[in-house]
Amino acid sequence: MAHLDEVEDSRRRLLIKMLAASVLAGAGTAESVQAESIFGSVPEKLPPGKSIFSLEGWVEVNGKQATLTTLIGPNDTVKTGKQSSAIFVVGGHSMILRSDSHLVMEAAQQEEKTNQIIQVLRLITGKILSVSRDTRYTIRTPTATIGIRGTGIYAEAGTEQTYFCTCYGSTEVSANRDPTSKETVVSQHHDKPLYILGNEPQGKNIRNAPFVNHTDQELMLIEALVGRTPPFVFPDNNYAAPRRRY
Amino acid sequence: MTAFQQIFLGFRKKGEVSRFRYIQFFSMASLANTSSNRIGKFPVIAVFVITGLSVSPNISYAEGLDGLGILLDTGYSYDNNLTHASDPTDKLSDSSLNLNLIGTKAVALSEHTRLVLSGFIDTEAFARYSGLDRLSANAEAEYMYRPSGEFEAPTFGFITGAGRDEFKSGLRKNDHYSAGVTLRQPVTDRVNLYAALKNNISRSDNDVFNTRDTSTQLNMDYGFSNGNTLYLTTEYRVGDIVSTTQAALAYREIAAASINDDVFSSGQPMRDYRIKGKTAVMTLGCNLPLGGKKSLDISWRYARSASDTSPDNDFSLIKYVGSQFSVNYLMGF
Repeated sequence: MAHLDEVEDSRRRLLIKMLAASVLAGAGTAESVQAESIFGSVPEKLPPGKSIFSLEGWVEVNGKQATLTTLIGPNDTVKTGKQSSAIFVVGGHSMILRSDSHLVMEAAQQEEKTNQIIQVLRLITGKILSVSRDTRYTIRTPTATIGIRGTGIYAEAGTEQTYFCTCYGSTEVSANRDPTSKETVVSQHHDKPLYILGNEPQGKNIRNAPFVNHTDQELMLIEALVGRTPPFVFPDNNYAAPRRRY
Repeated sequence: MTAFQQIFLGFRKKGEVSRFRYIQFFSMASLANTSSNRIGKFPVIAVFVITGLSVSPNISYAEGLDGLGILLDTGYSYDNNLTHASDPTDKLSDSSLNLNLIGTKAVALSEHTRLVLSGFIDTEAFARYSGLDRLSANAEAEYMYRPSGEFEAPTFGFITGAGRDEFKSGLRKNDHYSAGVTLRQPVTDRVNLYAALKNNISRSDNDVFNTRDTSTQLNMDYGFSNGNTLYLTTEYRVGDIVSTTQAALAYREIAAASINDDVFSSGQPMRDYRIKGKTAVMTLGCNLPLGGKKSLDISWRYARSASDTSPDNDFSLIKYVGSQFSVNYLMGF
């Protein structure tokens, strides 16, 4: 099987190179690298010592502009600017942080210096798609606290409202300002997106929401970066922005 | 009350303002379909489309409408060679408004296979050539196999479809069928490919519009900046072409069938000719997400056809080119 994988890998790389060549015919190595960044990359498990798969626009890690070689750890802060995004991995967590986001990570209390386990993701503002397995952690936003046990999730945080989708797995959702608004979500495939609000009457701060702004293909991409696959085989196009038929 | 009104009012029980707007939306559709006044019809449909856009920001967030697997596709197109003619004097252009409703349901058959069932209702109304106004109903089934959930795993499909085109033009009314194979292949985080090989058959009451062709299609989606997508579709068809021109000896010599047309005239009656040929089509488009399940699609389509054989007294093949520009607004439920 490994042999087949290698063959498929080499075919894909050949295809990307052909695409690149059609734009930059006869170009040298620098141009080829540029073309690969234009046409994107094949998502595969990131090697040790590499955290970032792709960057777009302005991205900061701990206040410094990030590059593809910047390492991101479980105690770091990541910010994105307008029309910017970062796709990165911390331990077994793989994430897409979209534009205008501010994410603060807190590591689990462990003595090992190599600890890569995230205990808390504080999404102060912005949008994040994240996958993990077999680890418990918490997402905190201005209006919500969500307990997660190894799953795929998407969150959008604002000062008055949080959008939260349990893409698959189970989560415990609660409203920060209303202890009576709590909900356990067990989802196989984006089954119950929620709004978590801040200023509604007691017991009414969690509401059903539509499905927005993330796709199955993105979940497949970030799972690939940590060497996994999502628990579904077919990406559902109904979750992407509508597109005309071929 | 139309069936459309009943369906949509059923989904939206709260909010009288919204209810009124739905009634307005679909009443205009009914009016547009029944009006026989050509001058009045096109603006009515334009208002209908604009009204559709104005109600849309609330629709996909309306409780109960999300996740239905329904796509509303409405827009404007301009075609500079509706007649598929080679002579500039025979090339006739027109603009049209269209409204398409597409329903899709995926049925899992096993972990690695599924059946995707789709139904379409398409309407199109032309500004000048009302005979081309069309109401179509289509059904499609695609059996898909994907070996794994890995990002780069391909999806193989067998696709079959059938439908009915009800044109105002009696000649063009047809039943059509298609069958073929498809392939979807994610290449990188930005590039996705789709390929299809299909056989298409159209059955009409007259011999000219009884057509058959085989088409190969390759589409590349290129994702850039925040979900925007550029796409390039190329298609190559081998089979029957219908071209409408003033009566011409060259066409008559190579046509398999011909008939007087019931839509077009350019000073003189025009004839439809069915000829064997090859057509290359290229579509370049851009899909711009508008937030939620809404997007704007802008595309340019260029087609170039050539007959397989040349007339007896000429060495050159009969050729035509045509372009179509489209702007569409899409909304998913």
